[in-house]
Amino acid sequence: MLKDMMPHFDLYQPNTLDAAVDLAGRLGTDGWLLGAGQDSYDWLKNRTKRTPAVIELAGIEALKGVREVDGGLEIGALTTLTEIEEHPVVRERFRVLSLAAGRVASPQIRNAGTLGGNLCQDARCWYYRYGVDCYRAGGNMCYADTPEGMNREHAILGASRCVAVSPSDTATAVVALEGVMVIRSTKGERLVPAADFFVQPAINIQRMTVLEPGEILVAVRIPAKWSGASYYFEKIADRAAWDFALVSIAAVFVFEGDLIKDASMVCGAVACVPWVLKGSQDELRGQPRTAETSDKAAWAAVVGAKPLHYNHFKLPLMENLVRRAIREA
Amino acid sequence: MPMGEPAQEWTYGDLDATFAKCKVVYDDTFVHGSNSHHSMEPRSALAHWQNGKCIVYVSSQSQSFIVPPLAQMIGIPPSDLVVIAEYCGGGFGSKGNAYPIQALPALMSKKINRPVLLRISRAEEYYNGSARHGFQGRVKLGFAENGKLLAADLYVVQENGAYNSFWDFRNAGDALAMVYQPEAMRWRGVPVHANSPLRSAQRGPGYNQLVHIIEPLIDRAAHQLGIDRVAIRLLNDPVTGSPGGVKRTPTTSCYLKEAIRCGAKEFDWENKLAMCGQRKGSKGYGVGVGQAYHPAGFNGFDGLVRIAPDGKLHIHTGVGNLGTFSHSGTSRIAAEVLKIDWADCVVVRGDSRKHLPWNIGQFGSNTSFTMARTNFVAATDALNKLKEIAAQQFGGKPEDYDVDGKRVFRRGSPGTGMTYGQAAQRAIALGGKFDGHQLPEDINPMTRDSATALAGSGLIGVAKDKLKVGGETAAFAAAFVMVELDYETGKYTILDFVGVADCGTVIHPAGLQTQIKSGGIQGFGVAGLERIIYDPQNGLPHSIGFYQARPPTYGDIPLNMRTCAVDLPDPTSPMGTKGIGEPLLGSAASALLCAISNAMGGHVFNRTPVTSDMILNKLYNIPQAHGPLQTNCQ
Ligand SMILES: Cc1cc2nc3c(=O)[nH]c(=O)nc-3n(C[C@H](O)[C@H](O)[C@H](O)COP(=O)(O)OP(=O)(O)OC[C@H]3O[C@@H](n4cnc5c(N)ncnc54)[C@H](O)[C@@H]3O)c2cc1C
Ligand code: SF4
Repeated sequence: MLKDMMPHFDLYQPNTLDAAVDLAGRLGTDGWLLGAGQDSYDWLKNRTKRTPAVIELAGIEALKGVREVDGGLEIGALTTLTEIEEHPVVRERFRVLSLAAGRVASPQIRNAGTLGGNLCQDARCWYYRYGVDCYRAGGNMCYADTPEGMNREHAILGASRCVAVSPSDTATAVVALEGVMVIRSTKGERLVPAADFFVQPAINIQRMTVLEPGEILVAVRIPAKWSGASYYFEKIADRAAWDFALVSIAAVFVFEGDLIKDASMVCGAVACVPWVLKGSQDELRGQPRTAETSDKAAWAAVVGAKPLHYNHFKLPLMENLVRRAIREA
Repeated sequence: MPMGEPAQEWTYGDLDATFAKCKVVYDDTFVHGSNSHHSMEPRSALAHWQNGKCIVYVSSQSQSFIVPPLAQMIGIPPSDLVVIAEYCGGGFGSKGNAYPIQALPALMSKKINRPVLLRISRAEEYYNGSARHGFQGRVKLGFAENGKLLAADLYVVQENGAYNSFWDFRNAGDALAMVYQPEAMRWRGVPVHANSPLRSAQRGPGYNQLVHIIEPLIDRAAHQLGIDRVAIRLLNDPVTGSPGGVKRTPTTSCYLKEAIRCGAKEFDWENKLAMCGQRKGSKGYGVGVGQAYHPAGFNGFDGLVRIAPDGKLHIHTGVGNLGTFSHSGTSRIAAEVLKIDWADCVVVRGDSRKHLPWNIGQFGSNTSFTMARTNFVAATDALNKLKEIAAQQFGGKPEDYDVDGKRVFRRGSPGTGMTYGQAAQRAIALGGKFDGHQLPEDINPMTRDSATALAGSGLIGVAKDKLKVGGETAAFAAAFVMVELDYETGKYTILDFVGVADCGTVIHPAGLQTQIKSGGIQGFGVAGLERIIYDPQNGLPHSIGFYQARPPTYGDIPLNMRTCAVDLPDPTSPMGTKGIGEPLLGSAASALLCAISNAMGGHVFNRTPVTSDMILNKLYNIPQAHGPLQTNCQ
């Protein structure tokens, strides 16, 4: 229940990355990293999650902005979603990311919300957010995957006990563009491919990402590989704004005449992680861009899908978005 | 569907014989979901006690109307209660009457002898702020070959939540009888308590749910009988004098046909219709027309005005402020009667210490009808007194005098007269009925107390509304919607909207436009987006924030929403006004539901809301996730 008022916590406001890394290392699980708080404040005000201390990253200039590196980009984790949406180079060369950032939440949330926060946001399963003692919260049952569970928004793929979905709109685009996450801690820097950054419940049911306590996502590198590629992004949600995806797709293609030379396709809101459509990509490579090819890719996308009581509609929706991406990229 | 003994029922006409005459008969079950009121301001209240009086700041649609019931909840006489209700961030019916959260801080404050503020969070608003009553039901409709609805048999099971609440189920029967005028009809209804959050009246309670169910069925009949959907409505619609309800009370005015014609023209129905039916790529168009009704004829309240010695007109209004500013819109009627510039008027309101009359609350689409009458009778009383005072002073009979420019003067001799300020001073000198020391017998005790408090401070106009009634005064509305449906995603875009009000004489065009548009937007939410659901196994509420309950956003509505009004007077209102607010939602929601069906090739759903997953399931032959009469589904 929304309690409306901020609880007490110690607030740290470092203005250098080193200071933040030091603090994060020292506080470990007790130090809640804060981008713009658009996800965090819900948890804290609702008292569903508590923390003794918050490390606000907003004062660290080095974590902000979009830089061109080796034909690709390095985007600071504190860059706002609006900035990414409007950045001329992102628009021109990696448009799928600009479109994805532009479909997050609402203009107000995009003006404040950061890329790091958007990628690291927690599951949106309403049971979990309500504060029940489900698997993800450390308990021993899933409330959504029951005969009467209200699971219209939940996963159809890749579930393991937890059927929550990855809610992040930018994550689909970052994974499709084969981004690399730059992570810092007192132990140094490590790079993790975006596709491996997000964690399936079978591996760790209480985490959405590989980030360990004390680690900070400092930037996302977008390699040159898909620069200027044909792209498609679409997010289907109940409302045009201020709503999470029912299914979304981020896709980039390299076409050679009528042939599909290469494709990278990722769906959001169908699994606990941004769901890479490997089967579809395999169906597409080297094939002509025809309705028949897209049908095959669409069918491959949903192989293994296990819809829940209320979300069978996600199957045709996902298939259609795959067809559309191929047709309209 | 179980159809046991209903709690209530009525019938008129010979149902069996009329059904036997019908060419087409439908017998369907239906579901109408519940949805929250989404008032922007959660229902907070502040109370403290001073000199034996309890002072309560409330979030309320109403001002005077809630004083007696709230005093009762607090356990004090109404005269010991001060209610301050200056502003209200929306109520949509849920803050029409007094409610317990207004009383709780008063009771706590009494115990601790300190001011107490009770704040309700957004999440709490979703269960103690109440929601629209959901319906499950069955309806049998019989049509003649020409499309006339001859017979109707309606059974409504109303979800009540955990407490007794509103009578939407009854209103549904009245709406069917009025909007479609069947020759014979039976209504049966039963409200059922459920272990779910509080329910209460919401914009067009029952009247709107009914049209959301029936309008798509009217389209189905039109389709089957080969009749245009506008034409079938024109055939069935009521006109002035048409009877309503089981009592068959005639309407005092009804221009629904005019509203439909006006909307069809503005919308360009014929041409838009011609665009539907072909699929372009993954998309296609659908158009819909919807209509709705709400009775709006409350009367018998009081009016109170005062002309002060400085010549200004003080219009005391206890109607409340839902956020629509109709407290001032309706006060202008007093200014018109007394031919006084609006700049010389003071609207006195928002605090019961300001000596307010006994007025209706701001609900039931009634303000513009009911308050037009009270302000008219009070101003007329003041006018008569002005003329009497002038006649006493300058000779002749009161009828020889007229008013204008803040003066009362002899007709044909404008120089013979006095200013309103002088007349007010004269009224004070004369005392008695002129300055409020002597009051009409029939006014409410609240008005009597207020007028008594004002006595001696100017010329007092005070009266009870005893104007002619003569039938059922009701508001009607029509709406037209065009959608583009995406057959690959189940999503639709509303491309065009025209809303038309039959609200009597238009007294505030800008206010009316806002009402039509906002009613339309709310209707789009009810028809396609909103939900208030919970996990049935664990009783957990799902919809505890705007983003989960999903009222429409700017992105979900057409950029250009067009409005018009029939603008024909109702004879029982001195200014020709009648209700506005509620059917605007119902007609827009119905038009949208009909447009979606149209884009899908004909009647599809007997339930509201129609969400994109339902549309996809239907298009791809996937069984719907919900059971046949299931409520509380996604
Ligand atoms: C009503 C509503 C609607 C929304 N709709 C959408 C939507 O449609 N699509 C969508 O994608 N999102 C949506 N969101 C989520 C919102 O966009 C994200 O929560 C927001 O982008 C998060 O950014 P932030 O900077 O405010 O994150 P914060 O709240 O500050 O952080 C979110 C999480 O990330 C962690 N974190 C933040 N920065 C870092 C970092 N640099 N390193 C490591 N961890 C970090 C925090 O500890 C926290 O756990 C919605 C949120 C709300 C409230
Ligand atoms: S889906 Fe996951 S987060 Fe939701 S109730 Fe089940 S275990 Fe918890």
